[in-house]
Amino acid sequence: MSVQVPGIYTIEIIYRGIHQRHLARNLARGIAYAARMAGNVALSYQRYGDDPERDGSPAKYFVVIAKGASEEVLDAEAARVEPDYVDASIVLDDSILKGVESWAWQGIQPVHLKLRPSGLLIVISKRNPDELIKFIPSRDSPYTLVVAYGERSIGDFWTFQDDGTVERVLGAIARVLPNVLSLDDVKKYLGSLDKPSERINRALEAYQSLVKLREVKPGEGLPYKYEPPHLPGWKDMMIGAAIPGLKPNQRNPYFTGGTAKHYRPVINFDKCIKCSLCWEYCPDSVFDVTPDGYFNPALAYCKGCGICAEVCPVPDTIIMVDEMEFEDGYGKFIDEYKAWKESKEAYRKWFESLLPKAQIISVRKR
Amino acid sequence: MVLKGDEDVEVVGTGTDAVAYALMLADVDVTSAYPIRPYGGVMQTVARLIADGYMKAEYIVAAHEHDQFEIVKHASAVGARTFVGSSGVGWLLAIEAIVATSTDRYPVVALIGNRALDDPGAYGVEHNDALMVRDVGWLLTWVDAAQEALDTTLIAYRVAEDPRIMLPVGISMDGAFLTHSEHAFKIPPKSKVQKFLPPYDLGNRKLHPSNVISVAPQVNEDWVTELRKQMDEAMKNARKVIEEAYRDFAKIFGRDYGNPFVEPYMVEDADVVMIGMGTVSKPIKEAVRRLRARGEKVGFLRIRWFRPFPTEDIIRYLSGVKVAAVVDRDYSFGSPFDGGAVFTEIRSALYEAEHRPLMMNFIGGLGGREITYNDAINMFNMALDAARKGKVEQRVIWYGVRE
Repeated sequence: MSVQVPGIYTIEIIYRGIHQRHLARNLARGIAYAARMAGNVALSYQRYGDDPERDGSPAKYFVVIAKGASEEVLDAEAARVEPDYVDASIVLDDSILKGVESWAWQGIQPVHLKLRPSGLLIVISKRNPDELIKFIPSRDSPYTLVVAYGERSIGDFWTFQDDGTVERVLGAIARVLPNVLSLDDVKKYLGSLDKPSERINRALEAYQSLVKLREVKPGEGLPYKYEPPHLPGWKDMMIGAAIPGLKPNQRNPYFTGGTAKHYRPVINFDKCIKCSLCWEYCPDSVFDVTPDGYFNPALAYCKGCGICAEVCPVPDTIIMVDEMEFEDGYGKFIDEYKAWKESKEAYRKWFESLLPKAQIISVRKR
Repeated sequence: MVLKGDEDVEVVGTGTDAVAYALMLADVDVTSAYPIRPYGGVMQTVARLIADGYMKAEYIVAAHEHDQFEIVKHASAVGARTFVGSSGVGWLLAIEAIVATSTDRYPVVALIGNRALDDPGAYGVEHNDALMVRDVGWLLTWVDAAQEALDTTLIAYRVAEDPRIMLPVGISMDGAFLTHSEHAFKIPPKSKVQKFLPPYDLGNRKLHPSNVISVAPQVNEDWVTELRKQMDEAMKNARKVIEEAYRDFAKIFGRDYGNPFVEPYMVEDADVVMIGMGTVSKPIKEAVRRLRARGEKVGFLRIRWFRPFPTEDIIRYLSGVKVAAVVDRDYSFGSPFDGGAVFTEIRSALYEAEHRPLMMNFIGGLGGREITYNDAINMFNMALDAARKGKVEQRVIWYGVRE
C-alpha cells in the first residue's frame, strides 16, 4: 500500500468502454493539463486491464495531481495499475452505479470502492442524489454524493462526440474540489483550446448550477459487501492456463458481466409465442428455457445489446428499458418470469408502465 | 528393408532418416511438413514410410512454418502424438506458435536441422536458430550421430509427455554434417519401443467434446506469474525425468549413454577440456586422441542437453581443470564477454564452482564452415599454452576468421 502523501490528489473516472472511452481520456488529460497550467504536476493513466473495453464494460481512468511539488513525487504513482485510494470518483454514466465489473474480472466492485473517507462521488445524471442512493451500496465511512446534471454521453461508439461533457465535469470539479482545480485553472485550460468561449460557458454553467450535494452517512445505501475474487496459486491452476469448462446449460457464477448494460430486456410473457428466436440469437446465452417453453433472461449475464428485442417478431413483447428504472443490481437482478408467474396482473401493469420508457429497437415493427 | 520381427535391423542412412524411423516406431499420429534444408530429409523419409505402409500418420503439408507449428500444437491438444521440424529462418518464422506450444504445455517434438540464419542466405550449420528459443520453455538437446538421433527422438517423446513435464522438445542436428551424411544405425523393433514409450495421455487437459475445457485463454496480469512458475517447475523436473528415461532406455534397448546430459571424453585427469555441442565432437575427439598420444592431458565434454542446462555436471567436470575452452558454433552479439551462447552459460554455471578454470571461447565453423581435427589441435594448443602460462591472453577467438 502506498502512503498517502499530503498534497497529492487522485481522481478516478469511471466510464463505459467503447461508449465513453475518448470522453474519459479527454477528461483525464484535461484535468492533468489544467493542473499543470496552474503550476502543479499531474499525470493520468487508464486501468490497463480494462483496455479492450468491450460492450460498454465499466472501465477506469485515473488522474494524479501533486500540488506545488516536483515531478519526482509522482514517480511512485507512475508505474501502477490502479491507486490504493482516490479523493474523488467521477461516474460518467449513472447506470454504472450498479457496479463496476471490468473485462479483467475483479468481481462486482462498488462504484466507491477506492474512495477515501469523506471523498466525493460525482455522478453525471438527471436524477436527484436521493434517487441515486438507492443504487449505491452502503459503506462504513461517510462520503459526499454530487450530481452534475446531464445526459450520459454515448457519443464514442464510432467517434468522439464533443458534447460538452468534459467542460461540464471540469466546471463541477472546480465547484466541489476547488483545492485541486480552481475555476480559474479550468478557464485557463479551456481558453487554450478551440472554441474557448463556448467551452468556458459550459463549464461556468455547470459550476453555477451545481447545488445537488448530499452527505451520505455510514450504512446508507444498498446492503452489499465487495468480495475480491480468489486468485489461485500456481499449484492450484491447471497447467498451460487450461480452464475447466462449463457443462451445457451451466453458467460461470464468477463471471457475470451484467453491469455492462444501459438497457435490459423486459418480456411480456402474455404475448410471447415461444418462437425461440431470442434464445437463439442472444450472443451471451442469457435466456433460460422454462418448463412451459418460455424464455427467461438471466439478467446478471445480459449485456443489454438488444438483439433479442430486435429479432422478436411480436411487437412490444421484448422491450429494452433503461437500467435506472430498476432498483436491483450488484449481481442480483429480478426474475421476470417468476414475477409473471406469481402475479400476471401485477406483471402486466408493471410492463405497461415501462412501455413508454422503452428504448425502441426496431421502429419497423411498431 | 525388413522391419518385422523382434530384432534390431541395421541400415545405412542420414541423421534425418534415423529420426524418421524413430517417428515410425513412436507411432506418431500427426506430422506437418514444409520443406527447408537441411531438416527436409526427415519429411521425405516419413512420406516414404507412410507410402510404403510402414507408418500410419496424418501427413499435413502446411502453407508455411507458422502453420506447421500451429497444426501440431492443435493436434497435440486433442491427444495426437505429433512431430514437426524446421531449420534456420523457417524455424524462426514459426516463433509465435513455438512459444505458444510451450506456454500451452504441449509435448510436441521437433527436429531443428541447424542452419545459419539469413541474411546472408546459407545452408550450413550454425546453432543460433535453435538457441533463439533458449528462454521460452522448450527442452533443447543436441545429437552428434544418427543412432543417437533415433534414440534421442524416442527419449524426447518419453520426456516431453511425462505428466511432470508436458513441455516440447527440440532436437538439434547439425545441418549437412549429420542431416545429410549417411551412417549405419540400428532400428530397434517396435516391441521394445512399446515397453519404453507409453501412449500419449493428456489426462484432463485433452480437448474433446466429452471433456469440456478452455485452452489458451486470455489471463492478464493476475495469472501469468503463476503460469510461468508452473513451467519453471516442469523444466526443473526435467533433469530427473531425463535421467529416468535414459536409465530405462539402457535397460530395454541395451544402449547406455552414461550421463544423459553431457558426454565426457577423457576428461578425468585433463588439464585442458574443450566443450562443444553437436558434430564438432568428431574432430575434437580425434584431436584429443592425437594429443593424448603425445602425452598432453586434454579432454572433451559434449553438452547433450542444453535446456535444462547441466549445471552440476559442468561444475563437476570443469571445476579444477586448468583451462576450459568452449567451441561455439553460434555467437551472441553483445553478450557479457562478447562470446558465444554456450560460453556465456558455462561461465555462469562455473561461478558456483570451488575451483574456477581459466576460460577461453572459440567461435568457429559459423555458417557450416568445417572444423577439422587440425583446427581442433590448433585450438587445444592455444588452450595448453594458456594453461602453461596460467593466464588467457585472448578470451574470445574467432577461429579462422579472415583478416
